[in-house]
Amino acid sequence: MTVLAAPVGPADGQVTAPSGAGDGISTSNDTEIGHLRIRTWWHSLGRPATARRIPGTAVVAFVALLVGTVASAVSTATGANLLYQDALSHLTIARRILDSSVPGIEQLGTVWLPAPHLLLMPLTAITWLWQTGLAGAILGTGCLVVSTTCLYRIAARVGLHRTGRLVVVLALLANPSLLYTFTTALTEPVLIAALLSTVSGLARWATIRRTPSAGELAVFAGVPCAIAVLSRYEGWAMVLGGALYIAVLALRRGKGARYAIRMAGAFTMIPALAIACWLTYNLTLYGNPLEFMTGSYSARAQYDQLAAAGLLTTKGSIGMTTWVFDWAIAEVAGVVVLVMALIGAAAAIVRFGVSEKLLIIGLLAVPYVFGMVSLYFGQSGIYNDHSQPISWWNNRFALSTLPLLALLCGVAIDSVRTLMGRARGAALLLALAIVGQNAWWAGDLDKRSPILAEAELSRVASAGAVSAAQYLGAHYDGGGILLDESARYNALLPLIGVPVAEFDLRADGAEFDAALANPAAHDRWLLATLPDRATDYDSGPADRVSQMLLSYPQYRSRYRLVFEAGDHAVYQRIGDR
Amino acid sequence: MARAAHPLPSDNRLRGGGHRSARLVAACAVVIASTTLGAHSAAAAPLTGVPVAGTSYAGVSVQGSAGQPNWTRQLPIPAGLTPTALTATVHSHLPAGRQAAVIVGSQTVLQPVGGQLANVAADSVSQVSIPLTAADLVATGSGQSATIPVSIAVVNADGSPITCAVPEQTAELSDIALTFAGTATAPASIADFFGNAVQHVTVLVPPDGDLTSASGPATGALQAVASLTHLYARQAVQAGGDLDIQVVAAAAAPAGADPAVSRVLSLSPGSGAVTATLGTDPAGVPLLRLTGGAEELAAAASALDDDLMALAAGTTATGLVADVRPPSAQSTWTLADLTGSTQLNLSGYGQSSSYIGVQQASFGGPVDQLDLHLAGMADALPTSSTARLSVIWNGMLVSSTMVGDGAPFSIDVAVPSGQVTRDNSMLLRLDAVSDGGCESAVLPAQVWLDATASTITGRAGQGLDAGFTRFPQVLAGLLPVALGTSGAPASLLTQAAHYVSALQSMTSVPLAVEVVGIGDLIDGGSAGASGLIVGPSPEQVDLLHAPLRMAEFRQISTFAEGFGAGVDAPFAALQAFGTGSRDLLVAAGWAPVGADAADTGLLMDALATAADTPAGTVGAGWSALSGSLLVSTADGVAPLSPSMVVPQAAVVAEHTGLPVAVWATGGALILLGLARAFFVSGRRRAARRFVDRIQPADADKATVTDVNPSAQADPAQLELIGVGRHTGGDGSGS
Repeated sequence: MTVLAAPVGPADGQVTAPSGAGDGISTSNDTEIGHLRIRTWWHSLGRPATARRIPGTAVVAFVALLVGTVASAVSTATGANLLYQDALSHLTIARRILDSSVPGIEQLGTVWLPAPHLLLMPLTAITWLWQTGLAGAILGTGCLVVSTTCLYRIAARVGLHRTGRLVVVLALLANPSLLYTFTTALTEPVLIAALLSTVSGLARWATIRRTPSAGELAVFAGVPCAIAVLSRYEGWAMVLGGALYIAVLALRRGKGARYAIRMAGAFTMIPALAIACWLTYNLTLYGNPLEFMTGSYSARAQYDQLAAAGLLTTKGSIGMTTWVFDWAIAEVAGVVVLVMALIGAAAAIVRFGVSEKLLIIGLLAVPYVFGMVSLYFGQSGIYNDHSQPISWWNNRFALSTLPLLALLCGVAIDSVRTLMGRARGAALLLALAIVGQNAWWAGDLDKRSPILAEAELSRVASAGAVSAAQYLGAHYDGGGILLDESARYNALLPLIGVPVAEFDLRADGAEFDAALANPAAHDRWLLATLPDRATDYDSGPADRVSQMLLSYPQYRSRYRLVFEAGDHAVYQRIGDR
Repeated sequence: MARAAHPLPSDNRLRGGGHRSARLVAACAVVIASTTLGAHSAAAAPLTGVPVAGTSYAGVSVQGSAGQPNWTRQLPIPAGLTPTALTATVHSHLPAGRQAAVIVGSQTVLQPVGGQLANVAADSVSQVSIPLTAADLVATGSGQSATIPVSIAVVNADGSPITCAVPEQTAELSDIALTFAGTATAPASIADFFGNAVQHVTVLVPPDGDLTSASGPATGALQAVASLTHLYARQAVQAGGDLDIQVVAAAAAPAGADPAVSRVLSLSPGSGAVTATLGTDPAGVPLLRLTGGAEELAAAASALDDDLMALAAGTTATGLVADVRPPSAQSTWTLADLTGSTQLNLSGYGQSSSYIGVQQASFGGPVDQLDLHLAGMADALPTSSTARLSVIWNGMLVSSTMVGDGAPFSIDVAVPSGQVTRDNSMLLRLDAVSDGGCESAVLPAQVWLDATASTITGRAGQGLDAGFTRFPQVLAGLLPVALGTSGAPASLLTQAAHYVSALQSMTSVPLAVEVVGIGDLIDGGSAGASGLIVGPSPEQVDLLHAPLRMAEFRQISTFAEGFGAGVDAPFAALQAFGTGSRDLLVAAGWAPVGADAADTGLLMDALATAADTPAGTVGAGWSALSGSLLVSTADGVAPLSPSMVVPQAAVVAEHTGLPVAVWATGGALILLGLARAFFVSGRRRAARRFVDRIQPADADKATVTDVNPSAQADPAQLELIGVGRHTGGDGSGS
């Protein structure tokens, strides 16, 4: 057996500090030590992977932490991290598990899978982090560190050298759409981190010299896959993809079917347990284990509604599906990364053939396949400037394909090194092209990045709602608030900033219904869509508070309109209950 | 139809039309006609139409504000008539102690319209009726009617001028109308035909000719619309008149026109050089008949917009021609070009300002960045006074400079892409204050801008989304028009004339119109040019990949947007969209099978009329179009966002198959994989043969791995072809 990757630099990264270093006496020595340390870090980025260690992981983690922190600071300072209504909803769900009129695990609801909310929960318990959305940014930054390091480790497992690995990291961390998303409380950060952790674990299983045990596989790949499974349905696809990968590799190595089944079982065991827990939760609370899939609030119900209205043109059309999803990927990843990734794909086929390395890369394509399948079967929808209708919606689903493209960029550059002996020039050119791509994005980020464009669309559309929330937050003096937080642009609780226990929310079930039946007896404040502005077309549930106001005009004798902006209004009860 | 008067309250039209070659050609032609054929001048004859009692100047208004210079509009008086009175409405927003002064001709009439309290401005409306005499008339150039200058100013209660500029204290004179005595006279020469008092022009073409191709009179008719719209837009700067122009394919112009302010331009297809003949139509309306070949008619129509038409002093002329090439692009304009004045002066304490309009089209095409360079000089002010010059671009402050030290100043500002619109406004504002208040200031505060040294430079680029706001600048002075077959040719030509007029009224650059085949614009054969298509078939709209297809459609209905286009009711749509590197305007109609086709024609008429700027309506028509889709249904005309339309079957059907790029990419990768497998397999077979040859005795024991011929080769090269590569894991290679 031959390992082709050649170590570069001092062996094993051992550095002997000059005498006097660290005693605070010699400045020049300190500088030398600094330089030496940087050189050591630099060299570590090119060392080959061993069974446990991937040299350079800490350096990459530090860089990712730095980039994520800066992105979080910018996004949070401008309030951009709170533009997505879904992000506000995730923050609210996480918060209300502990802070609600009916707190408890049932506040997780069934619309979204629970892992992101459970991870957010300890952070959102701190009111300041919840109100500012920093909770999401902190979790997202952590996910960025995990994602970047895992992708770096995958690149090392695939055999890329330093330049290739650095290109992989650059292609990921220089993407503004990804960075923005990782500063929000959206579910993509957790999903991508979990998926990459899973693939990293599976890559380790395939590439270390000794045969790993089933337990190792379950821990290093199964546990993160369970988190992915409980984050988004791409994780469920990864369970299948991972099991298939294990089976194919085991059979190719002549280990036999029993071994293949044992290993695949070890990998799928924990994700399967997670799925079982989720089904049990749904059965227990809603009486239907598939409530998350078939319930009235499920994504499927929403997409069915769109399909019935003729607005889900990807459903049943492979052409439209490909057209829309591929454009989403192109616009999220950028043309430079996409083109280089295609070159990388060709290089990977030529270099690796049908091998475990190509299969590892193939694992990262699972989200792409899942995205295509779910779009085609009408289980999800994406709108962009190439869809019908044209709008901006859900292009962030394309983000989970970015690690694949980044890895292929690394393969492309690494192949240049393999062919020509060095690849720094090519890497520099690619880096410059990525800088150029970013400069172009920066010219009009709100329009050129589909993810930022959706955020901007949401900002404009929800301006009235946000103003109403801010008014209510500034003027709330107790007495309770009735709000249908599930309705369009009503995910406003972090912006209002009042403890969730003060609200009667749709998520509270019977208490909400009771408040709707007699609002004046329950709540001093109402925040709702203006009754005459309520839309009859909506991609989400209608505002039930608004419907109540429309159905019972007598509310005018009990409430007065105290604030109105756009299509949202705040009402205050006249007198006592 | 077209309101040719510029909607902005200042002289900001580019002057002259700017193509010298065309003017020379026209000049030569007119002179030749006059000298070789003889000028058949005639004395002005009385018109025999309806007696003229008065006329209103719809849409004409003048404004004034406290301490600001007055802006004067000139109201043209039809030849032969004498104005007897002016009536108008005065709207003011003034406090007590202020009043409006209406200045008409040689008279100043004070209107005590101020509010009740000092320093508290109040809205007030009053009517004014001012008797006029011949002494109020101002003579204009040869061939043009005399005018009456009208302006309004804000003055003190005693009529004295106001020292302090207070822009919030305003007065406006609107609903202006004149009554006349006398009998209007017909134009005595071709030069007089399109005088400044004309308000309505009918372009008449024969109904039985080829109305939709370049070989017919269509190009000439549409060019005449563009030329006359441009001509009256230029004249409107001084004259304030509006032009209502329409193309009619009929034997005679519609009856009922006022002969004093109406004209008929008749185009008669023939061959060869154009002959122009003056006369009157059966209704007594002055008529100019142009007879000649199709190309020559277009050239003659273009010549109508030339100042040198003043040389056509006879009642007949031949060889009337002007080049119809679009003007050359000019990337830099001086403020003198834009305002017609070599110096701009801002003066007075308080706040005084000067407005300059800047159209993208002026730069010969779309621009996405503008560089301003302002050079000037300000009075030296005493230490008790301070002055600041601000530049406000489209309502946003882009520069602010302290002035008043007596030194020349220079201001350079780059207006970025996001702030460059189709029609831009630049406001130069002087804020001057004195410690003791402006009434007690001892020295005047003045800023003089050198308009010849101050420039605006446009950088070519497209910063606007595809849609109506890209027009007319994307045309770069050339407007190809294609007329389809979905509709009566005469109606399509009339509708096209509305669009031409609307587009021309939005630019100071004269448009060169050419009628092309619809295929040329559909496939981009017309030099890949942007253009206008009127009346394409639904199939042709599909070929253009227009956002809205000519088929039934459903809106994504919302409560807030009450517009209800039917699923299967007839409709017409005007769409502005980008296709490839060009932009197209497409006006088309659709009706379900069995519906009356006339309904679609009426809807398309309504659409064209709505897109054109209605006379007397500021802020309507093309200038009010902001999106990319205007739809006309039985309920009316309304804008619609393509994103609010449920995807139509034809649109979805275009994407049923896998995109070519996906096929190509996927196919290439698969072929690459197959090629690699074939190559590796071949290498392995060769290796086996080699081993068999050199170790025949042990052939049954040899393995590829043991005696790999590539063992001496570069491992990296071998990895590239997949030979001799071993991997980690448990030792199993591929």
